[in-house]
Amino acid sequence: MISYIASRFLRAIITLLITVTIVFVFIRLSGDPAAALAPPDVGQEVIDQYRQKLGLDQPLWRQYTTYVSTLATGQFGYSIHTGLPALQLFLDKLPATLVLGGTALLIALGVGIPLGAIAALNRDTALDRGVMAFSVFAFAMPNFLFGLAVILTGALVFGTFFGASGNLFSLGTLLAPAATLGLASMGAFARFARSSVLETINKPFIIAAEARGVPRTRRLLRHVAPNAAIPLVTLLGLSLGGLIAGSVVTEQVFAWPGVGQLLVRSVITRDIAVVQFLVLMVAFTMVCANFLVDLLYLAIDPRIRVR
Amino acid sequence: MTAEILKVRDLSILLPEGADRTYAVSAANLELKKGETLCLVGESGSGKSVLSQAIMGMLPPQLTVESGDIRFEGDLLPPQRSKLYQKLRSRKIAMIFQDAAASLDPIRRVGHQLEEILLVHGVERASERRDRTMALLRSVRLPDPERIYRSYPHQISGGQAQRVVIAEALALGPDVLIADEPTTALDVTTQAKVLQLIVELCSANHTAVLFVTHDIGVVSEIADTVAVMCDGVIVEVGSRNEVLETPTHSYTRKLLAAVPKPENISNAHSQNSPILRVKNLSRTYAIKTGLFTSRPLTAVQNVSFSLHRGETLGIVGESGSGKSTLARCVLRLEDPDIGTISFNDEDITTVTGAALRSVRSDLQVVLQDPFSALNPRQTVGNAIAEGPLIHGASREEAAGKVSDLLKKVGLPEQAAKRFPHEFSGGQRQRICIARALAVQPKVLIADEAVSALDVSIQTQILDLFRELQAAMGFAMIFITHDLVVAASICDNVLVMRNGNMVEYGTANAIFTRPKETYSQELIAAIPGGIPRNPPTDTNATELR
Repeated sequence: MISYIASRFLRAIITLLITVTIVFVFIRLSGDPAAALAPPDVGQEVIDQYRQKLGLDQPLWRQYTTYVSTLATGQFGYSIHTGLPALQLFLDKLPATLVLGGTALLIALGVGIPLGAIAALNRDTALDRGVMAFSVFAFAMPNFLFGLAVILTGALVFGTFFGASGNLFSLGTLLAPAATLGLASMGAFARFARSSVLETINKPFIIAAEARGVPRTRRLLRHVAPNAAIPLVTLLGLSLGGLIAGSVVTEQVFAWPGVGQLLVRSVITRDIAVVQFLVLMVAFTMVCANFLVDLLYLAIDPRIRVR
Repeated sequence: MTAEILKVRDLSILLPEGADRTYAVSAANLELKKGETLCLVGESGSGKSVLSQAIMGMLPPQLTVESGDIRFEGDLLPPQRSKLYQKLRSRKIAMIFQDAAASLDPIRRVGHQLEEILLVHGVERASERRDRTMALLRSVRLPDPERIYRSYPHQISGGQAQRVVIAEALALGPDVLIADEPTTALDVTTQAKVLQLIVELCSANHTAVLFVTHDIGVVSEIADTVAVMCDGVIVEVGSRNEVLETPTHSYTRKLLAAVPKPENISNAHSQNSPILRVKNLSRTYAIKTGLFTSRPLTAVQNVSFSLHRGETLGIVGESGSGKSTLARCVLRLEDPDIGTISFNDEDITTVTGAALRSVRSDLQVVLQDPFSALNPRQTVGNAIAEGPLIHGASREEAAGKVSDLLKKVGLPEQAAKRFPHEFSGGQRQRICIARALAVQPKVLIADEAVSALDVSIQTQILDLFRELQAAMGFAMIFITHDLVVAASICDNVLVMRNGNMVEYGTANAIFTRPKETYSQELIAAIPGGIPRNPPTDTNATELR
């Protein structure tokens, strides 16, 4: 078990290092930062000055080691437009995004898994087919389109704006954007939950439990549910990536003042330090989330815990 | 008066429309007396499992009881799948299944699963549940019950799992135990112990046993009464001796005749030089135990044998004995660590490239599971032709070979255009054999090639192997855990255990006068013993 955790942890660290390196390389590939930062129509000397100031005249490997070591000490650079630390900009926007993403994940799990389980228990009925049709719709629907439809419906039918206005953390404000963001994952969870429950429910140990006189409710809750949950944990790790990517679009559609919007704005304004930091944070979130997913496996599957 | 505890009267169970027959079980009558052991014998698809499901009240919803009834101690049992049944299960009628490991929840501790049964049947106090669980684990003679209690199913062996499942079934002292092929998945020595345990525990508690099996050997070992089932009909019921010695129904006679019997053995091949010679072969795997650590697992250790043209060598052993690894090494699918493999006096242990490809056509294999051994999206004809085409035959030659081989293995020529799923298990194994023979191998390795088949099909396939071998003259390595099968087809036998060779000699010598204790144990554990045509002893010569 210790070796399992250690190996997953090592993997997480290596992934982070690779991400840092890729970010470094890509920023260098995207053009000369000094030329981008210097005001237009200035001479070569000014650009060179910028270059010196930013350390871009150093050899590449030194730039890289300086970059990694400053990251390691927690200095993530400053926004060239506001002069504020990238970290602070990020932390300002983080709560809004966390609440949105968290609610979306809750909706995806809390609605998707029960829907899938209900479909499985009513296999080949109209209910099953209905749920499955809905889940295909859910994950086939691009969230920018669905988001617009929601906003339009809000404006035309209910006469209100379903986007970010007033208290961001109230359920009324959260619901529409979170449902939009969570929709695709919800569809995926419903389908996975259905097939996982169906597979588990026909396993010999469930039939054996019935033969031992274990009542149906107890069979479903104590035997089917925990076993069927194992493949869903894999999906959980995968869908976090989708949620992060989706949040950039969803925040844009609903004017949600979160990290996604900050990222889009920073890209447009070529605020390199901020973009770089945000990309790292996204990667960091993914890596941490997947590390947690690995630990979750450990908690629910003894076959990993004790060999 | 001997009391009937369970009585099935005129029970007919309807199959869903479109099935290959109308009734899963038709007009079945069966009586089980207190403390009696009744063996229900039949091949797969005969309806014996459906009948036992019906007694448990667990018929799948697609199957309906059309007529007849089941009584327990004279009272009608509740309708199928009714809630009332829950109280009867485990308490009055208990059931154990074929795959014991699979009938335990993989993510819950063994002890807790046992306690759950006591809990749902009303044992309120946790300490009482725990005490009774420990007592049960001890009663099925599990070593270190404390450890088993805490273990998850994947941490115990197959035989231990079967003991746990028996403990579960007997937890509430049921009057009837239904055992559906409970020992089929076990090794022969484990099987003997588990059978003995069931018999002992049940006779001690006066539990009647309905033992569902396809194995006549098991029947002759444990049955008081035998019922034979075929296509949903119980064709014959009687005492063990009546049914086994003077069977009245033709199907019973066919079933008894199908039990493989040892043939007389000739050793005429030993003079010329062997076609395949394996010397001091060892293969060790590294089992990963941690991030950077591993421990060695010796799968095969220092095994030597030789095989002559037209001869059949049986490699016999229980699961994990290394027989399949040995086969994979001989086939050059895996590289041995030490030792040499020579084919026609040529060392092929390390050949690669074109030389290896040409050896490949001389060494072919037929695998255990005919269902997964064929590509489901490839027609039978293409599957058979693929080998010859790769080894340079023209399309016409390959097509000619396909129709020729299909005829040889007893399938119609039109089979070439069809897909594997359209065939039964036995037919698929014929296809696999045709595919292996398409490249005219000198050595055919059959790795548990008849283990997944019903007993009458098994006999047909064994006969087919024999006929083809006589006609085509290839040598054969027959890997099996079933000693009866080995005795019926092999000239020489190599007994393996934990990767080591235990004994190597002529089949006759090993089955009649085994020298090593382990071989003796294996042979003694065969249920019902080896069905014997008294072998003539004149040819028996020791090879080692």
